[in-house]
Amino acid sequence: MGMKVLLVDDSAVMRKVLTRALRQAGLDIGDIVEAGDGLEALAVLDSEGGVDVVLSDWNMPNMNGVDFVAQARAKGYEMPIVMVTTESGDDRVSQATEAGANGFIHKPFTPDRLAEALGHFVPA
Amino acid sequence: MPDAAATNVDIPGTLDEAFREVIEMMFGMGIEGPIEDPDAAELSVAGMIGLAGTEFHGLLQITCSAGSSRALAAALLGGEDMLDDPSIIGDSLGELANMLGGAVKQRIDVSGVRVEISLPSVLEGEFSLTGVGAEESVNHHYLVDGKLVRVGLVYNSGPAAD
Repeated sequence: MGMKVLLVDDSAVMRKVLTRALRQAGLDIGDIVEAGDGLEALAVLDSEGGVDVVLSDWNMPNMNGVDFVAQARAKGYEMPIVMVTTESGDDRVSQATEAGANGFIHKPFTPDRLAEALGHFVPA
Repeated sequence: MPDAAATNVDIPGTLDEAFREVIEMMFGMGIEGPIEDPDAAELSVAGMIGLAGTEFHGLLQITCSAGSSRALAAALLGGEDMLDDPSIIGDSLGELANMLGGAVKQRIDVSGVRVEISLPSVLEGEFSLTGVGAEESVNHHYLVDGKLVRVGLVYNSGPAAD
């Protein structure tokens, strides 16, 4: 039984790209569930249960990625959350970390970079 | 070549470097160029994204043919069989614009100038583009897996207009 991953991104294309990259990363990935923004992601966490790792975009409608991370932590969710975003800079990384994010992957990324960042949380 | 004095960033070089990075990392496609004097008559689809800051703003465009946009989408998603929904081809070009915008923004941010990117847009058909308040422009043409793609940026490296 592999790790259950929640992908949070308003781009259906990016969710497909991430799904493909995760399947090819050589990690022990099981179910992959999706959400189109932070609000949906919170609903998925509440309804699905058992999510082991979250990959979240930053810029999304309704609720952005950093607000989602803060809300998820406020609700007591402790699973690793890794930001996958075009945002960059030390201030952005600090902002995400302070909200409760555990990792930061900048787009564009290589499959190796994704595997490396997730390897801290997902066994091979 | 135009120079962005406010950012001290070589914008033409930055655009070239960023486009290569995105195409090679995310699309895994071969890239040649920039090439001179291309036949751009068939370029009919464009992905666009805005860059906005107090010291730099502009509009990025990636323009290609319908066939090229399909090839880009297939490369990004892992094959033609992934293109099950017609909208996914345009969305892929929008995602390319988004990642290119992010890669350019990252390089401008390093100079100490803060820039935000907009949501991407996709245009199909004939259009002409005017960057309001833009003083500079750069266009690079590439062959991506042998198909022509134009990458352009109209921009202003001074304060944004009200």
